[in-house]
Amino acid sequence: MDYSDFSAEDFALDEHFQQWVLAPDTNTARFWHRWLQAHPEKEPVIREAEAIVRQMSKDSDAPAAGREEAVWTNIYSHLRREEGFGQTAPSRSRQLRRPVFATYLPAWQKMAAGLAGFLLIAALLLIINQLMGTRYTTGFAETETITLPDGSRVILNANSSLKLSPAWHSDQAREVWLEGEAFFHVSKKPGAGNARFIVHTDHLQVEVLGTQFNVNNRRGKTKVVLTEGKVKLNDQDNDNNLLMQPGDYVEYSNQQTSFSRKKVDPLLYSSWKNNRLIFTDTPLGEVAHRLEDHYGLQVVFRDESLRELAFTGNFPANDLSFFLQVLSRSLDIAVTHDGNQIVIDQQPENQAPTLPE
Amino acid sequence: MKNPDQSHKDEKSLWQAFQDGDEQAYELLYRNYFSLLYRYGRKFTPNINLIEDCIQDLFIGLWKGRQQLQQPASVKNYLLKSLRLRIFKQTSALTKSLYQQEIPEEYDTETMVSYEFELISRQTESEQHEKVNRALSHLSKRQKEAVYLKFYNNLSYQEVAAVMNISVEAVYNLISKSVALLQKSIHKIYFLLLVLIMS
Repeated sequence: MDYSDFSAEDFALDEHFQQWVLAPDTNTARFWHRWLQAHPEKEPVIREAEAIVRQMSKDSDAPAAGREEAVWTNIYSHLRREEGFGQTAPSRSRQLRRPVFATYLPAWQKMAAGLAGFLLIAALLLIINQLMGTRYTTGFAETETITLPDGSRVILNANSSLKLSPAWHSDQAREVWLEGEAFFHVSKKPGAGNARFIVHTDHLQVEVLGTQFNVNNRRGKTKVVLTEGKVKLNDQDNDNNLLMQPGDYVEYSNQQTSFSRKKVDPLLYSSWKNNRLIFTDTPLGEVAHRLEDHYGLQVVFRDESLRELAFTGNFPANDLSFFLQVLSRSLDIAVTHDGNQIVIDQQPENQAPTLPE
Repeated sequence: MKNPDQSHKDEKSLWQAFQDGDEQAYELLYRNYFSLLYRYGRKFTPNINLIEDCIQDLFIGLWKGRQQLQQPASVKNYLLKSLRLRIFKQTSALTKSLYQQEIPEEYDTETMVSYEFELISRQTESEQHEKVNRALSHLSKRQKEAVYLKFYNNLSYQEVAAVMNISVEAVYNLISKSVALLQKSIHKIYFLLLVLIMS
């Protein structure tokens, strides 16, 4: 091939040249270095072509964190149900998710007395695990799907953590502690034994029988939204309790020490688990809280009255800048995003003229 | 390359193990290709739920039908093509069904993105990558698809043609138009830099 008359565009379209930029091997590298030595005047053209190929090999459509795991969990549970998948040998992710002590258990039984030293280490690990329980945490803008030992699924929202009680034996209730927000899909406990499933928050105990619900424990309040089934709420001292029905939204804080209940569309409160932000006539102040909780941003209102504006919309959670643009346009407000801070203000032309003092 | 580009032999033996019912091989296949397939899906639709459903069905179908499957010449190309067919089937089924509004609505948001994008890009015109991104955002869906297969996946023109089910010539046209568009924007940057240096 005679490359001497090639333009940058021609090079970028040439497969041999693309190969050198994208997946160079010794042959292509040798060829192009020699060619460049023989045609030094072509260096700028080659560099431009290289830049074109590199730019075009970029892709900005990466899946949001946790999606690979979430889809895998669906595939896994589907195949487990229908094909007996995962019965013969545990899959890799299951092994990883298992608490530390579980990997030692079968070894324990087989182990001869001579391996006492190993036993001691295992026992120590067991004790530590008993004391600490297993803990899952998520960072900002990241969600995680967790399968609990009983098959229940928990989708943990961004900036949240979930601690499991150390023991999940058949005679004890299944207990978890939540900071932040999570969606629970609790399965009925297989076999006999204590079927209670309890979510502890800073203020409440949410007690469950096979069901789906969302718990938000942030900003000194606990908010529970029930999608399906039945749950009972107990406050810390067990003075107050309340039985929730599907579609109920219940809020509780230590300041109020009473339950406030309303009917809502539960899907709106768990939309985050499908990586979407959904608002219906939501006050802007609450939208700001969502942004702070999910992305770890600080939202500042230059004009406090703007907090009351009602906002409606449905967005992918992984495209913050798009969301902010629509927010600004649909409410006709100024939204500026600078580093870790979002500033919300009146549009300059809408501002009431300020009188000199 | 960013994607897990295994050697041809590894890919073959992984596929063989999966066909023999090895669950770990199957999971590895999924993990190797999830991100690649997801990115590919995004070239057709902004509806990420639909993309994830299609990937999920694709892999469930693979496991269930593993005994009837042939060893494909390239596992990657086979998966890309299968996902493509699934998404097309789903989106055409969707437009016919009750959810008819769902798709036009999603497309609206997309055109809005590029409009907004343009506004923002204009403000930061000095930045090179913004300009390049802007040029790339003007590509048609088919151009984006071809560019993704050609440059991100490093497929040959012939392989791209096989996955997209069009002629090699048509692929070459799609790619060369995209390259021309990008080249123009890069050229402008070079020119701007030159002016800056001279002044």
